[in-house]
Amino acid sequence: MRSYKTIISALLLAVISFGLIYNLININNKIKNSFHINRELTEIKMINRDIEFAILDTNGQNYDAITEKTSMIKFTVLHIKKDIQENNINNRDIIENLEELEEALIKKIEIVEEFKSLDAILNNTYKNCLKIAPLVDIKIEEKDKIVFREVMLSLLSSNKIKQIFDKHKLNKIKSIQRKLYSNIKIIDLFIRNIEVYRTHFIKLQNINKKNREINFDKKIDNLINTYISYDEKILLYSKVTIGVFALLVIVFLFIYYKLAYKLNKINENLKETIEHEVNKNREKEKQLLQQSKLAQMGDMVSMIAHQWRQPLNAISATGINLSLLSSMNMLEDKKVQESGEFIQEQTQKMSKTIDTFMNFVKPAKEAKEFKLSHTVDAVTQIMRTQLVNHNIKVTIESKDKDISIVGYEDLLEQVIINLFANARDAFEEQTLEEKYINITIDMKNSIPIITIEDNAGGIPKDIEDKIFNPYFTTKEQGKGTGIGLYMSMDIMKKSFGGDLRYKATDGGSRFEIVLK
Amino acid sequence: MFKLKLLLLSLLLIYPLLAVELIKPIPLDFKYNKEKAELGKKLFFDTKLSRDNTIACATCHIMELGGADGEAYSTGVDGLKGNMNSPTVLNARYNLAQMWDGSAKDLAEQSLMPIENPVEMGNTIDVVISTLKKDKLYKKEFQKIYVDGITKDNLADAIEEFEKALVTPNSRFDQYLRGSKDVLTQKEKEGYRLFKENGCISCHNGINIGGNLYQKLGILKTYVDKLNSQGRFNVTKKSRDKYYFKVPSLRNISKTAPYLHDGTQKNLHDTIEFMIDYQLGMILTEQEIDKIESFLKTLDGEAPKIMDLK
Repeated sequence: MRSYKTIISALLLAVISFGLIYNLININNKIKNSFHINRELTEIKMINRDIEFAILDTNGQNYDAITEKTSMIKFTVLHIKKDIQENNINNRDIIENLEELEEALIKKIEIVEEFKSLDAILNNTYKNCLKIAPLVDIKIEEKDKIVFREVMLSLLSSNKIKQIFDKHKLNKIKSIQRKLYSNIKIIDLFIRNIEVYRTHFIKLQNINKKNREINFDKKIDNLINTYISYDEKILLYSKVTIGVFALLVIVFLFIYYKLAYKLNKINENLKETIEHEVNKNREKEKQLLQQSKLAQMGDMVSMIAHQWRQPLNAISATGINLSLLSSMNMLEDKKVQESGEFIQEQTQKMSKTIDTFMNFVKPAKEAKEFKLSHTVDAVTQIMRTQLVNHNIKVTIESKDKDISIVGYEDLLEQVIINLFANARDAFEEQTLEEKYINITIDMKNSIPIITIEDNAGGIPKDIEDKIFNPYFTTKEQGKGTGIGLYMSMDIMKKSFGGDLRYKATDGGSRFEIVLK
Repeated sequence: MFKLKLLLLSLLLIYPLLAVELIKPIPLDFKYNKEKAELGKKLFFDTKLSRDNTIACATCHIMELGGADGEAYSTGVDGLKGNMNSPTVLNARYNLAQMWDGSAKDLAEQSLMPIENPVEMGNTIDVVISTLKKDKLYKKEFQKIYVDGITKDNLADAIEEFEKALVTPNSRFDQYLRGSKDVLTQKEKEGYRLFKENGCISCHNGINIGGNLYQKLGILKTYVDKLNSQGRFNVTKKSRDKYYFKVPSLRNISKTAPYLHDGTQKNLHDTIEFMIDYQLGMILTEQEIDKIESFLKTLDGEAPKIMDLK
C-alpha cells in the first residue's frame, strides 16, 4: 500500500518536473524569439529614422543609400511578419498593427520614390535659378544661399515673382524689338525653372504632409508597444506557470522526502523488531535444544535404568542367596567363588552399558572418519531395550558394510535416535501385530543415504509439509517438544551439508538421511 | 524637437562640405553563384526559350553592344517589333527594379517576362519547362543544382544568377574614383565637373550612375513620344506617375545607342543636348556638351568575366 503511494508520488513528481523543464525551454525560446522580434522592430525604427533624415536633405544625394534602406525596411517587415506567423502569435492588436504598418510601408515607399525624383528636380532647378538670377537682375543675398528652402520660399512669396513676370513680358516685347533672342531664352529658362521649382516644391510639401500623415514611426511604436505588452503578458504567464511548477516540485519533493523519511523510520523499526524476534527465537531455540537434550538424557537414564535393573536384580538375588546360604551354614567356597564371578560378570555388563551411553553423551570435538554401519549399530544397541519392550523388530540392511564418512558421529546418532524415538512413539498409538523398523545403508549416485522405514501409520497428508517446522508437534502435551525433526534437519543441513527427506509409504513413513 | 532640428540643420550644412562623391565604383568582388550562372548563361543563349526556336535572350542583349541590340525597337518572333528600346542587361543587378517602367521588381521576375511577351519570345513558361524537360542535358544540370529540377522558379533563378554575373567593373572612371587621378584626361575631368555642376548627377548617381530612381521624362518641356508611352503609370496606375521612367544607368553608355526608351536619339551628343533641354533647363555650349560626352565615354567597363569562360 505504501509502495503504491510512493510510486504514484514519484510519477507525479516526474510529470511535474517534465512540465517544469518543458516550460523552462519554452520560455527560453520565447525570450529568444521576443528578443529577435524586438531587435527587428528596433531595426525598422532605426532605418525609418535614416529615411526620415534622407528625405529632409534636399541637396541632392546618392539615392543608392535610400533605395537600399527602403528594401531593407521591406525585407525586415516581411521577416517580422514571418516570425509572428511562425511563433503563432494570434494577438489581434499585433496583427492589426502589423497590417497597418505594412499599409503604411507601401505608402512610405511611394513617398520615397516620389521624393527622389522631386529632390533631383528641386535641386537642379534651384541651382539653375541661383545661376540665372544675376543674369536677370535678381539679387539673392549670399547668406540666403545657405538655407535652400528659405531662399526659394522668399523668392516665391515676395513680389519678385510678379516682377519677374512683368519684366519677362516687358523684356519679351523689348527683345522682339531688339531681336535679342538669347536674352529672351535666358529669361524664359529662368521662368520655367522657377515654375518647375514652384510646382515641385508644392509636391514636396504635399509628400511631406503625406509622410506626416502616414506617421510610420508611430505605427512602428504601436506595433512595438502592443508587441511588448503582449510579450510581457506571455512572459508573465510563462513565469507564473514556471513558478507554479517549481512550487509543485518543491512541495512534492518535500512530501516525497517526508514519506521516504517515514518509510525509513518504519524500516528501521521493523529491522529492530525483526532482530529482536530473531534473538528471542534463538534464545528459545537454545532453550529447546537444551530441553531436547535433557529429554534425550532422560530417555537414556530410563534406558540405563532398564538395562541395569536386570543385572542389579541378579546381583541382589546372588547377595540374598549368599547370605541365606551363610546363615544356614551351607555356604561352600565353590558357591562363593561362582557368586563372585557372577557378580563381577554382571557389574562388567553394567559398566559396558555405561560405556555405551557415555560414548553417546560425550560430545565429539572434531570431525572424524566413521563407519555408518557402526553408528547404526550403536544407536540400535542403545535403543534395543526400549524397542524390545515395544515389540518392535529392527532389521539392518547394509549393502556395503564399509561406507564411511567424515563428520560428527554423535550428531548423526542424535538424528537417528530422534527418528527411532519418533517411530517408537508412533507405534504406541497403533495396535499392530507386527511392528518393524527397517534401516538401510546405501549409496545412491555416490551419496551415502541411510533410510529408516517403519510401518507405524505414517504422517497425515495435511501436515506433511509442516513436520520440519520448529515447535510443530502432534504429540500430546508434555511429551513432544516439536523440535526433534527441526533440529535433525538443522543438523543434517548445517553439519553434514546433507538433507533429511520424508516420504510416505504404504502404512508407514520413510525418512532418508542424505549425507554429502 | 528643437535640438533635433538644430542637429539636422548642422548636418545639412556639413553635408556639402564633406564633398562626398555621389558616384561609387562597381565593387571588384561582387558575388554570384557560379554553378547557377553557368546554367543561366546556357539558357540565356538558347533559342529554345522562344515559341519558334528563333529568339534567345542574347538576340536582343548582345554583350558587345553594351548588353543591348543597337536597334530603336527590338525584333521578336515572326519579325514582330517591340515598342521599347531594349535596355542593357549589364550591371542590371544594381538597378532598383527592372524594365523601363520598373514592372519587374527584380531580375528573377524580369527574366521570365520576355518569354511570355508576344512580341518578344511569344512563348509560355509551361511550354518552355516541358521543352527543357525533354532535353537530357538541361534535366541533368538542373537536377545537379536544384532538388526539384526544372521549375519556373529555378529557371528564373538560374537566369537571374547569370545576369548578376553580367557586371562591367573597372571602367576608367571607376579607376579614377579609386584614386588613379591620371587615368582621365583633362577634357574628361572637365566633362565630369560639368556633369556635376549642371545637375546630370542629380539623377545619374550611385553605383550604376542611374538606375536608382524613377524620373519624369520632360521636366522642363513636355515630351510625348510617338506611341505615347505612359511609363511607370502602366504599373502604378497613378496619374502622378505618367511619363515617369526608370533613370537608366550610364555605364557603357557609348555602346548602347540609340538612346531613350523610344530609341529616338541616335547618338550621345544629341542625347546630351536633349537631356539638357528637356530635363535640366539649362543652356550649354557645344564645347561643354563635347566634354560631357568624352566623360561619358570613360564609363565603359571591362567585359564580364563569365563571358570569357567556355
